Amino acid sequence: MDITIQLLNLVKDYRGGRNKKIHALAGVSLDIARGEIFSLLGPNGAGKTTMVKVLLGIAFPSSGSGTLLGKPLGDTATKTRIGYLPENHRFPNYLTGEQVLRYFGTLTGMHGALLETRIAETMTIVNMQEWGRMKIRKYSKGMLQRIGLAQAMLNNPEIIFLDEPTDGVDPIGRKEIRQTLVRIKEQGATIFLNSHLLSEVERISDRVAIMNKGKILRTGSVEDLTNTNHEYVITIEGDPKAAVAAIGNRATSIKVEQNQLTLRVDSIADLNAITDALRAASVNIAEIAKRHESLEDAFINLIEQVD
Amino acid sequence: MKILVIIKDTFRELLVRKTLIGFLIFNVLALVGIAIFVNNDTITGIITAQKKTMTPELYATIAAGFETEVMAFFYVILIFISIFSTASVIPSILEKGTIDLYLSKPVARWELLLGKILGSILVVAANIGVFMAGAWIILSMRLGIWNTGFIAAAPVLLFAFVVLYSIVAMFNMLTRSSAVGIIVTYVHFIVVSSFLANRDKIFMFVESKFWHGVIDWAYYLLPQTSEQSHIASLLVTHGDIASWFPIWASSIFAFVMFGFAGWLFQTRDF
Repeated sequence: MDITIQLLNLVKDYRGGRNKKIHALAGVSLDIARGEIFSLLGPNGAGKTTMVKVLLGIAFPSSGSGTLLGKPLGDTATKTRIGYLPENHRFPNYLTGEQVLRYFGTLTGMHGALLETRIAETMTIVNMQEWGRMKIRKYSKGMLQRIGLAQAMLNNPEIIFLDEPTDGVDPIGRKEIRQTLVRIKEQGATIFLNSHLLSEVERISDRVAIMNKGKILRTGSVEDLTNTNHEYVITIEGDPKAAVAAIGNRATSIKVEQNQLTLRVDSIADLNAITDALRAASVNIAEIAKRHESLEDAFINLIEQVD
Repeated sequence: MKILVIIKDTFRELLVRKTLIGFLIFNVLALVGIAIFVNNDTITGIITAQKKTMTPELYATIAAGFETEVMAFFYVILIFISIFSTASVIPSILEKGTIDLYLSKPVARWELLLGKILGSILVVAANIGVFMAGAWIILSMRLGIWNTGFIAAAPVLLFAFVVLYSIVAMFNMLTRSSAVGIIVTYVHFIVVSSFLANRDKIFMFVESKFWHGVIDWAYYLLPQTSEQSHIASLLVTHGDIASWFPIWASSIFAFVMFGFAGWLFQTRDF
């Protein structure tokens, strides 16, 4: 596996009032592979933005280490290969959209025809080609996010960090941004996404980490995180009371909602025994499905467990 | 290359903030004011009379003295507005959401700071250059003497700005605010520097050796803006400059201030 981001026991402390230390990152270790869409979830103040800032050399780690594209964190030359859209970014408001891209593109080391071509391409990708010559002080929040995204994609980055990229963007714009991110991923780039829009994260992420109080609580695919062990939903036709009676004590818990039975069992063997019992009791089974939590439920449950 | 891009952007920023236009308006008004002043009947009469009655050498000395007064008057005003108009350049890049963008680019922190400082200095240099050249032409045409000493004073004026701007830059970095830098610099420029320049007179009223020492140390450590103004005056009158100490001591001060600002920028978390 080609690792693009690697963190090893990364710690970042800030000084609070009265010499009190605030542990923004409390020993974070993480590997992110090339071509992944990796999302970081966490409540406000969990340390998500601090992690991105440390990765980019905007803040310095208190201890621990890490690499970005095989180079130490904060390496200036490596920044030619990454893109970043910060949360609440502020571009110089005296520039037009195109001038913003030209300015930051030049700072990234791009120039000439290549820069102009990429400006045109990225403006088209984010659907802003008509507004490129307008001063950005006249832009709406959604337009600013689009220009921010174009700026982050300008240099064809190998890793793109996006902090709340759909903040202030309408649903159609959000869909377009999601499609753009998938396209960038297909071109081989790694995407590191910080977002509190869980439904959005759920749709596009290959892997998700849930973070709280500076620690990563759980990492895995959306499937892993939302999977509930040995919980099944059986949809039946007919009287649920008869079904519950047929199941007896084969399930450790049963919840009945209309014609749906949500069961917890100890093993697959128990599930098979339950279906046999239902069939023997002439209960018609319309559907059996493994129960999945929404990412939001999984997130809230995990945060509440730890708190 | 990247420094040039940042310098260019600083120009653009100051242009949009109307700083450059403000400078231009100031220059036009100041130069028109000088032209009207030297062409009024009283001054014209004095110049004509002096030309007739004085030796060329004496007339040249008096003309240079007149130019010194003009330069000294605008010295204070030019530095005052230059500090005010450039004090927000560094804080503007330190704003949340802006600094993150800059630091995510392959630009070293020192390059970013240096680009902004040089951009500010170049804008002020252009303004001082235009004013001094314009004033020199007007005064020389009216007085009939082309005194190159007047032009030679321009770099000293710029130097005084750079030294004071180092205080602004340091406080910008320390507080992320332009207001503190402006206040501290003005207090030094208007109060402290004049106070320290007259320390010999102050010593007559202060007996304590301890306070003599404190004032002496402050005099040698802090920028000697009043003495720099005196050096500029001597350049205009072609007088003997007894000591360049105010220049090199202030250079060290500016170097330390810019260095400290750079160190703060280099090591700070954003």
